[in-house]
Amino acid sequence: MGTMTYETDVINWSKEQARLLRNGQFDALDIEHIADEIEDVGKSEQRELENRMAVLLSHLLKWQHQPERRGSSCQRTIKEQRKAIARRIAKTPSLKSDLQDSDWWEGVWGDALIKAADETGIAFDQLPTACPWSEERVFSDDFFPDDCLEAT
Amino acid sequence: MKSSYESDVVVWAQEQARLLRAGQFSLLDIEHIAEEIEDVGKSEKRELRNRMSLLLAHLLKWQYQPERRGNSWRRTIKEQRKAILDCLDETPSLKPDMQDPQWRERVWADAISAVLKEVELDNLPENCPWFISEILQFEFYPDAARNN
Repeated sequence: MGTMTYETDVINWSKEQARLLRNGQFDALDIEHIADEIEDVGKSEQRELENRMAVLLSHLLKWQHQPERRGSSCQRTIKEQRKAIARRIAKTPSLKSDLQDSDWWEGVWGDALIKAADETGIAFDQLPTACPWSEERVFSDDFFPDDCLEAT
Repeated sequence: MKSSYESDVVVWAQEQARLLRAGQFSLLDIEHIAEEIEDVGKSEKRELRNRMSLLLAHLLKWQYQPERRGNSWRRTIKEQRKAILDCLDETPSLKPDMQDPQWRERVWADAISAVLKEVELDNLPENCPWFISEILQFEFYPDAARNN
């Protein structure tokens, strides 16, 4: 039995479990926590996609709602996030199924609203409650939303 | 069919977790699992760093943009403090990190660049002006920056 438990200190636990794995001491492993953590590797890949989407959408919102502050920095962030998202999906094709899930979009949009409101000071009720752009436009390199007064 | 770590890590993770729980050790991708388990420790450290720099960035914004103070910043500050205290509680071996001057430098640099990404300020302090005990204290909100 290992001396370090997952609950008392996960950093020391992880060093010990990695050592036991490499030594083939399977009987001594803390299987359930290892399995949980390995599942989490997949989840963290999904979380990363969510985070990048929220950053991308929040910048599209800023672009649309603060035309006076449009600049190369905002434009660069939008481009970078699009590229990073495309790279991640190419590397992990099963992420595509997340993009088909409406609950997923709802969560990501909520995060984008919080970011946009926090960074610009625009009130929540002035921002759309759901993503107004199609997936195709969100990922399209040359899509930058017009001012809110114009049709989107 | 075995999916490889390289071709799709989400599918790989589901499959390896299933094999682990089923006790099929001979089919496991041991080296990648061991690396990922080591990374669990590293990601705890990363989370502490990220939360600390987010907290410091908001304390800086609070101090240097008093006209923009509001509930949203207050909520972020409070939430990060709570999350950091939870991290330290769950993983006591993280505590020495916060005493490390290099760690502090790195976290401070991240906080500064996060602030500068949002707003142009040219009078931000070079080093963190607060004690860890202040930073984590729920009642502490820095006063408006004076021209010192």
